[in-house]
Amino acid sequence: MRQATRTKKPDVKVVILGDMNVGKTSLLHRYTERKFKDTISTVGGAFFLKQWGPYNISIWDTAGREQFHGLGSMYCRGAAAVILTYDVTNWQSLAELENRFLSLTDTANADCIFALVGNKADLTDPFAQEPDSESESDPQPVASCPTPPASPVQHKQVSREDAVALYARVLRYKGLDEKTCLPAERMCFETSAKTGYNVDALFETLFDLVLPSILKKRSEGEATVDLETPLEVRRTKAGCCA
Amino acid sequence: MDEEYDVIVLGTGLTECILSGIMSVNGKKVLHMDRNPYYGGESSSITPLEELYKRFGISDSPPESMGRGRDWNVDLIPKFLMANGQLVKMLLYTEVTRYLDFKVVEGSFVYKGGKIYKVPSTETEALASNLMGMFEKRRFRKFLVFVANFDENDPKTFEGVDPKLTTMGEVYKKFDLGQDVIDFTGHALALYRTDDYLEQPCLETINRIKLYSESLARYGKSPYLYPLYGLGELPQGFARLSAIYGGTYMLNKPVDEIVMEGGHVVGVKSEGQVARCKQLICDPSYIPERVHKVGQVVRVICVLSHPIKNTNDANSCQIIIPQNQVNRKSDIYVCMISYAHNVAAQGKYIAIVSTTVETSDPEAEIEPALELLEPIDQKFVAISDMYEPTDDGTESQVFASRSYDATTHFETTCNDIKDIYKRMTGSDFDFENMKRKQNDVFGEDEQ
Repeated sequence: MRQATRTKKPDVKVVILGDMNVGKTSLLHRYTERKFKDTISTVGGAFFLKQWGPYNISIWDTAGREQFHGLGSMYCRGAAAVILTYDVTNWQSLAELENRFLSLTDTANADCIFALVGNKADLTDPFAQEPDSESESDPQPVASCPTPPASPVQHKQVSREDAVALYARVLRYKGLDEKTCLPAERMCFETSAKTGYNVDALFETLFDLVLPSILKKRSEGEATVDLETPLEVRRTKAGCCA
Repeated sequence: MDEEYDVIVLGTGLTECILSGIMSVNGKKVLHMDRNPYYGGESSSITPLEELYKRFGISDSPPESMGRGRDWNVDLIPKFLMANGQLVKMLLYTEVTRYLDFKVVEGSFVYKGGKIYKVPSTETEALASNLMGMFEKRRFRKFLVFVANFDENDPKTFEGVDPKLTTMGEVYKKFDLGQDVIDFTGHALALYRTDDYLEQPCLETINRIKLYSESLARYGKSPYLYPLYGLGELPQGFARLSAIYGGTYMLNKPVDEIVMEGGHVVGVKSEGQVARCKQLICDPSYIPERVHKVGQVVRVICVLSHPIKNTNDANSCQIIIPQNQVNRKSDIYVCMISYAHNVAAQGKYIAIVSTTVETSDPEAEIEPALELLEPIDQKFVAISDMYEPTDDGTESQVFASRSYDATTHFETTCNDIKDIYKRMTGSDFDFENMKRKQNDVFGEDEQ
């Protein structure tokens, strides 16, 4: 039986978007669990709560088969950062970000931060093939790694220049001035959920970048109500004369 | 597609999304489809504003004064949540509250003699109110104490009233309440749309007055809550619950045919493929031959650039026009929300007038409400048929939901959900059925 702990509302929301099989859930899982699970499917998680200093950050991943043409406006609603994820060995997954996923970000915050993330870099980049030092405790020995080290086996279909160009188009779509936004060099990542390459850098860069959004939101102070506040019993008062 | 599911759901209205969530949480394999590219069906919030103009066949573009189209999320049906009502319970048990934010509606008003009066939300307001005279207030207070203390399981609280036999009219007589107080109580507190309840046993009315009072006590100001970004967020919240528990979601998916064999549903055909299922849930629009029309509702969406007069500049409110004030059978409702709820551009208000249609000229019927709103920048008029299923699903395993009625809360919608649940599963609905079966916000335990 689940403990009756009352979850505090997260301070800020980060969402992950991208086509099926680009490894969104593996990416999040790698960051949060320091593990890689092959063919992980996104079932059973609403969002991940990460404590970052005094703040709670919720990280949303698409659930079940929402990603299969089932995402609505709520998914990105109020997001302070969006991680647009593609597979570096699959050009179509980059094209889908613009064709299918970009319009979903209309409901994100006006000052939303975008990160472009090319996952599965271990398949194309020798540097991405060594497990990160943080994962040294991974019980699986390197020798049994299905991909032979230092020997790329797949052709890279999406270059860094392609990602930088898409980043510029994303900013234009959002009506943002490239000069005042974070530069592409800083916001385009290549990662490997399998080896952990660049995963921490991605998430922790974003967490630092969304801090101003948290402070802004707190100062705005929306007068919303907390439905989970226990009901006060006021038996002594009568009817509408509460 | 081309798979086997326990339940297929067609249409992503609130009723369908809640049922989809319940079924998924309880381990059913669910496929949920909607022909539209957005969630909500008849209960959606339309965005951007240009889309609303198109939907209502207005060929002009919205004028510049309407601001950015994206800032608008316009509800098609006007409803609020009772703060202590069944939908709030469903949100809490499912923890869908995680995905949504709510504000308290700032006031509730009742129309009398051509003017509107605030429904008191405090004892001080009640004493100062012109809705009834001083001696009447004392009798009314006595009545409210009786209602608050009434416990259908404790005969000591009955004071000679039989909850299943004494009519509500007789209860009013017992407390010597006058017609003005009766009208106020029945329509502004118990939220009845007609006076049919007067001849019915009093238990239901007492429970409805209790619901109002308990809802009002939660936050003050009014008993109603409203979600930021519009009611269309509600179906999406429950859809996400279903998805998290394995439900498959497909928007923009046409339904060619519901496949029946021997009077029993076996699947749904879409774009040439058939998904098989044991049971089907759908909104009335997907299965017109299995529903029948039971009336009409008129809803007029009005865009304003000002709060409604005499509401103390409220940025959200409800106005109830009791039916006998305007010589009708059913009450007229006005639900007003605004830019403060992220459903309109800055400085804009949306007031939606609704009532059950009684004549061939429904727009004329609601004229008293429209007069309260003038000047109106733009009106969108919808006259919708209301449907109910003709088939209880026993044989066919097809369960059609009911259309949204003219009430401005979701209690009837929740009753429909509970009824469908019982017919589908054979068990009485219990809110415990909605509880998540596992901790699905990871990282939570660390705190």
